[in-house]
Amino acid sequence: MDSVSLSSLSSLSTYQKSSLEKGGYKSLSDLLLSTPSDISRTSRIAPLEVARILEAACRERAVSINKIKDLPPEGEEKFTTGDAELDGMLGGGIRTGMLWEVVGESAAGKTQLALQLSLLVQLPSRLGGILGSAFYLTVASQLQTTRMEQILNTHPLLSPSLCSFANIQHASVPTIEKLIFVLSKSLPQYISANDQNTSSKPLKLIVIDAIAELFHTSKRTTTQFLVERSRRLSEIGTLLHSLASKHQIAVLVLNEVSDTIDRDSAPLDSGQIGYKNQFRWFGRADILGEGRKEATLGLVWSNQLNVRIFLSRTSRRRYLEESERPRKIHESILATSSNNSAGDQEPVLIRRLTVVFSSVCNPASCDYMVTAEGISVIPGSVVLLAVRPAVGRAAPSGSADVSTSPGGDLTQMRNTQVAPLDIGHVVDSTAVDSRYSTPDNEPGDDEWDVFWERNALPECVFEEAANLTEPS
Amino acid sequence: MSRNILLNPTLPSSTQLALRRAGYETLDDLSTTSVEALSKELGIDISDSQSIITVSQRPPGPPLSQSLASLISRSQSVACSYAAVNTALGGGLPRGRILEISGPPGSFKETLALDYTRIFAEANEEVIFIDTQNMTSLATIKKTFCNSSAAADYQDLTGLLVLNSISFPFLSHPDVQSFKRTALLEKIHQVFLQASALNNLTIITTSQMSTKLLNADGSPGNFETGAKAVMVPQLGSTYLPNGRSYRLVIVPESRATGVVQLLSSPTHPSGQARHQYDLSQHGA
Repeated sequence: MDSVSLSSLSSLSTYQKSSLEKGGYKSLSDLLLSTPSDISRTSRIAPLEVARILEAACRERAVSINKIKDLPPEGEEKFTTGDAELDGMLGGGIRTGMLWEVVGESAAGKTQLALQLSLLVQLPSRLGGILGSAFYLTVASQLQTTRMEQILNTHPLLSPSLCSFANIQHASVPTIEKLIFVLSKSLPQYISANDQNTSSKPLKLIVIDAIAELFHTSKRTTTQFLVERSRRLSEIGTLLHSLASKHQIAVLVLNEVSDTIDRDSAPLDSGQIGYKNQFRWFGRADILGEGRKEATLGLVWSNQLNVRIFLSRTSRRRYLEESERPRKIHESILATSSNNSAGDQEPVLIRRLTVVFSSVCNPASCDYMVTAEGISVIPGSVVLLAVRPAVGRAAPSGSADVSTSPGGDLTQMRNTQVAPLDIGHVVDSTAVDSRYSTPDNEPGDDEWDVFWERNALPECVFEEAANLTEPS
Repeated sequence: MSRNILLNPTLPSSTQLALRRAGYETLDDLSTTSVEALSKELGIDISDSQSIITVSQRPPGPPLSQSLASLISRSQSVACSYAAVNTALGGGLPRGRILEISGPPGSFKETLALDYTRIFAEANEEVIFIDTQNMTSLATIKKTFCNSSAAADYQDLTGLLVLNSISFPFLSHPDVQSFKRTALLEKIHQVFLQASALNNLTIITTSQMSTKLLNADGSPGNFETGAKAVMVPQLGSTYLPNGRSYRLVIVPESRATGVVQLLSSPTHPSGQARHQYDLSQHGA
């Protein structure tokens, strides 16, 4: 975040600047966030003069208000996800200048998607890219270069001549402090150096994998701790939005899920808006009983996002028709299932991608699979969950951006969730878990982990902590 | 047209303030003075003084020079495309008032603000649109106007100020003490009051929500005693002038339906009125 130092302001006199400095005010923010009476008292300047100083400083540094026609175009830059149906669902692809979240269980494909996007952003526009580069920040994991190489070599749009690892910078941010440092200092420096280098691609994608890992703890949670955590989350969000809008970068943050626990709570009085009721709509994918998982980090983090994409595992599998099979599947090893030599394919695990909310597209849902080339949507599986009327028009029967099957609120639909090919293969969930041991929550040896799992705090607790010092 | 000097739209605000300072409250007060005397008193040109006296002598009623279109656009209240919102506001949003729209992530608050933007722009009035959280991009705003008659030219009259995600900047310095935050909210209150009263500026803000923990009896609780969690607009009411503000909350009940709830209005300081909306029926 840019800090404007008082010494750089031309509308202030030297005497004024030195008095303010004696009072402890170094930057314009310091001044604006203090009350005029405080400023007057600590720098020994008369209140009337303080008012004049504030007015002059604000005028000098005010952001100008521009007419729309005088501004450079902004908001239409987007790059492909590698899958045309997914692009359609998302309103054309991944748009820059926004904060995107992909949340889901482990092994649902979040990292796959992030790796895939880090490569796709580099493509030229004729292939759906924006000739950009990526910065990948990992918290607790390693950057999966082998998997990235596999995607690079198998995805039909990608090729080593167009994309390279050289265009993907990596940094490890194992703590909150480190992340804040990278976002506030290292990245802005990197971006300005990169901008001056005419042969390098501009930074267009920042990935954080995964933000929830920064907020794991087995420490006893106190109110103070929760308040602090909430504040750091807000600070991170502000830094991300700043980077996104200043440099028109797409920021992609990966988040984890936790189990939805139905807690009894006191009934609401009339007019009260229940947190638990609302969380269902913005924190879960909530599709026909698959809404057992919810995004972590609560309302504070949800408020930061422009888009939330929820990846869920289902217990469904399907055999693929020849036409549905992603290209090059014969030559590659599927990431999640195996071929036997007779060419008979095992059914592939189906997963569900839900756009929970978005500032640029309608909420929608589709089936997808994770294959060697990355994420691919099963054709024809896109379902609109709600149509947001475009401003100035009556609700169209279907949006031009989204290819849909008959839409409407899913709870009113016939059971189109289960396609004919799936019906014979609704595998029961315990069998799935034992075959693929990718547990969501590794049981910890630490007895605190066990304690906190049994006594998990509701997410709303973190919100309250943030508000404890605020007046209502 | 009001005879009160402060509410008269044809006098520039600097003139209004000068008149007020000199002790004139309504246009009728000016009937006792002459052009020369007023000019000396206020320290202004004879010609300016003349125009003030002319305004004060004009019979009440619409000025003859305004076109029909601008007459319609200067109507008292503004109806948006959402029936539930209009009903909640008693027919429409009166001009020169402040509307706060809050709701959880995914509610249509930004779309609603954009809807009002379109209406003012189509009435040829300038809208200042401030977006703080990358919610409504330039492209989105431009797309809004390709469906309606060109709004590229407008009179130099600012009718609407939109502050999208006004709650967001308050999160940027999370360690600011709460008394400073309150002081900032009070400063905004002053600015809003002045702008809406003196310039007839309509102001719309959108806001995120935060959570409050309550005990079973409704008293404020904490995470040990709290029995239920409710959502409230993030900034509280400090920044909104009571007599001029409406606070609306969008409460989804499904992805396409829900209620619009009026938390407070100038006439009902604590409302509960809830009105059903259905986005799939929008525009019908």
